[in-house]
Amino acid sequence: MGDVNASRRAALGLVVLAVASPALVACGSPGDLAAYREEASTSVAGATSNLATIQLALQEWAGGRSPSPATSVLVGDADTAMSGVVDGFAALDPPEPRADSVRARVLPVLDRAEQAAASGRIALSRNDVDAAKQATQQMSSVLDDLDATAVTLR
Amino acid sequence: MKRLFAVALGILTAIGGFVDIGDLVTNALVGARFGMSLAWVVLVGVVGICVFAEMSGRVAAVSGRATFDLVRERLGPRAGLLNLVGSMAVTFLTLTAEIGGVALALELATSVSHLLWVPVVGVAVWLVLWRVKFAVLENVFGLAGLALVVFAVALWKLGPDWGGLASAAMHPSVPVTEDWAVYAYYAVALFGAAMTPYEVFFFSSGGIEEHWTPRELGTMRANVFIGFPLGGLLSLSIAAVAATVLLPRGIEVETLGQVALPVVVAGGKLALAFALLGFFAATFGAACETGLSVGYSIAQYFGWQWGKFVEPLRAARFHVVVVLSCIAAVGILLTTVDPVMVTEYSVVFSAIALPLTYLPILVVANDRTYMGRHVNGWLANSLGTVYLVLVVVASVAAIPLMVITGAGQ
Amino acid sequence: MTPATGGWEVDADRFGVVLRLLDHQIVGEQGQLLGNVDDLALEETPEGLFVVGFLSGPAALGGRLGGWGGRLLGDAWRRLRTEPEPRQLVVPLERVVRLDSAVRVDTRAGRILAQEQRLELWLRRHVLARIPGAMGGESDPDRPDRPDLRPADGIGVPLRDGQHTVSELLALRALTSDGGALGEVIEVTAERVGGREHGHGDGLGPLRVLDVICSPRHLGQELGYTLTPQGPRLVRWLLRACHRSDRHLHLGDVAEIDWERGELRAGEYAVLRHPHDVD
Repeated sequence: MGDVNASRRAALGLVVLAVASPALVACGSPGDLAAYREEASTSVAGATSNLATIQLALQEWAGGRSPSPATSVLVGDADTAMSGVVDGFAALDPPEPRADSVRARVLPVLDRAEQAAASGRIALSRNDVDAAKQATQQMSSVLDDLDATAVTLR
Repeated sequence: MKRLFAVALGILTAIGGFVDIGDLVTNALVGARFGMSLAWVVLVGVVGICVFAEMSGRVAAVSGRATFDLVRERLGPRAGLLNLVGSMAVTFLTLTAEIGGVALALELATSVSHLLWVPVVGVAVWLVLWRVKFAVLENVFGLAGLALVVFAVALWKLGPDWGGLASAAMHPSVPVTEDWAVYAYYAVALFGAAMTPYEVFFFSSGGIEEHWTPRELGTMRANVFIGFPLGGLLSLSIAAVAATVLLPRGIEVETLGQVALPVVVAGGKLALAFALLGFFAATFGAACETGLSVGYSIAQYFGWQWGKFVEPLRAARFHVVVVLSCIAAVGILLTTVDPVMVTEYSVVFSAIALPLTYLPILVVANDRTYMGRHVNGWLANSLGTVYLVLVVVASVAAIPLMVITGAGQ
Repeated sequence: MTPATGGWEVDADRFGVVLRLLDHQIVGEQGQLLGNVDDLALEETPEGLFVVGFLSGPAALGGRLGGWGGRLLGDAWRRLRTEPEPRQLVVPLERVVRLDSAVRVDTRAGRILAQEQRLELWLRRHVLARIPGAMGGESDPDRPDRPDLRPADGIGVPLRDGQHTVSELLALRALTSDGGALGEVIEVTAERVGGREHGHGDGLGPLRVLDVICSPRHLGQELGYTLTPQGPRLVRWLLRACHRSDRHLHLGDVAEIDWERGELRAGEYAVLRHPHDVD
């Protein structure tokens, strides 16, 4: 009988551990801040990738070197992906007070990237070459900010 | 003269037919992320596919048996069935990726959503498999696939730092920003993209469709040993233009449009038109090849009549399998799953399934009763053995690497 | 239409039945692909044990596969049949005109085998025939709906109750005379006794079973390394290591085969050697 009880207790312990371990990891362990920073760094890289794609595609389009259908697909896909990246990071709660500064640094840059992407998209849909050129210039400065932010996260 | 023309045609279609959605996406993705530091894997993969395609083509020409016949007769019904299920799943996943790739290429050309194109492409692939002659199918898409040469031209026009590219390719190392596990994961993916198992099913079954005999061995070898390496060069140029244009800007490849972006930068609208034609032909041709390969493998396992060398009515089960797989692939794509993601998984699962098909080929190519004087020589055997080991290592490593890296994140 | 062959034929005097016959493609006279050799029928006579014919189709394959999947395949086959108690057909080896990488059968056997493929016929009639362009217009001697294709005289005899199959033989536990385990039978060698050379018509004819190879391992059973070592060194070495306890047993040295209990017992003076050491 005792054996059975002991093994039951062991099994119960394992179940509890299995259920609890994600929760343990989630609350306040020292790895948390690092994970949040990691997530921030990935989001910045993603935003850079999508914004650079839009910028390059728009530059080529404004120069008359890329046809509208392909450009609008490229810009549309990258813009959708950009929203996903920004929303994904914004939805993450900073795990501890120290993480607030990371959020405060990253989120505004991501928002600006999203806006720059949107202005590019709008210029393209209006077939407005000048606005597109302007948007790509704006993107350059946002891309610089993204780079600078990425460096601070390393 | 006629013979020379046949050889030249074979080589050209082999070049154009070498690249498919897996090669396009994986090479651009790796080039944009790792530069040329994984170029060696493409080289290793191309030599590997040459070794095994030649072996399977030789076995088909000499013995009249295609790859899955060999799987069944040398692994028996049980291990053969496991192999069939695994290989068919991977080939089907590749078919799904190719149909998605065609739809994405059409989306880029028309800006009509790829989801609307998917059913159209599914029907078109089936129609081609139903009615178009095998030789026409192979030659038309192979030749049109040559439009991808625009990537090599784009590389030359971009005038990259050749020395830098070459030295990165010659001295492979893990970039400082990347983890070794991610590097290894993408090495496995590139290897799988270069050596996809369906290429061997298709190549050997295609040999039987075209009634190869030992006399055609020379032509077959010319196609393999000249066409495939040149196709591999196309793959490398896709990676190199991505390394030149996308890597410095921090662009990660997530869409087919991004694969084409460097070509636009280098050559504008005309170059893009060639690239899109190449995408379309390469993925449509590969969709036909994978669709046929699903049918080939199941029919050969069960001994059913297969092939386009008989009228469709006489290979009813084969054609029903082909139709069903086209329908299922379209169904999967209509769930709005991202075709590029399907492609990324398909190349890794290809790497996992590789040993299943290569061992029986290697064994039969050594069977003197079948092969007579065309049996494997020492070179084919040494390379075959080295690649058997490589293929097993890649296959075993694939799943753990996928888990560790979160599929290359 | 016939796929190319290298012009060779399997050596007639002694060959591995599992390696050269079992699971091979069956090809008709016009090059039609007619199924695989899914099992072989055995007959015990006072003169010895003979391989007399082959079986092809889901029922035989289901038996080889075993497990629920195999049963499911067999049941599906039975459902597709019209007769109340379907029996599997045995195609006599006399109908095999040539044995190379494929098993080539004569016209009549080809027709019978084509008739046996119920799923194919059903799909042709009810699915493919309705799609435009299913017929390529070439002459077709075996059009499925021709009326004179019913099983005829002596071809395609149903598997009789007294007959055994090679898959049963391959599942036998082999024992030494004092009850030591030798593993299971993994390969069977046989020689040609009928056919051209012996004045029995043109076919391959029945094969006399000569030896069995027993092994505790089935791995790589059909790869072709059981009887002769060949191929790349690494594969050869791995398989030799895996199959080092294979034993060759001459059928004349077998004391008894108990099909009921699934046992094969070697005689007291049986010579047991590794198959690679037997010439």
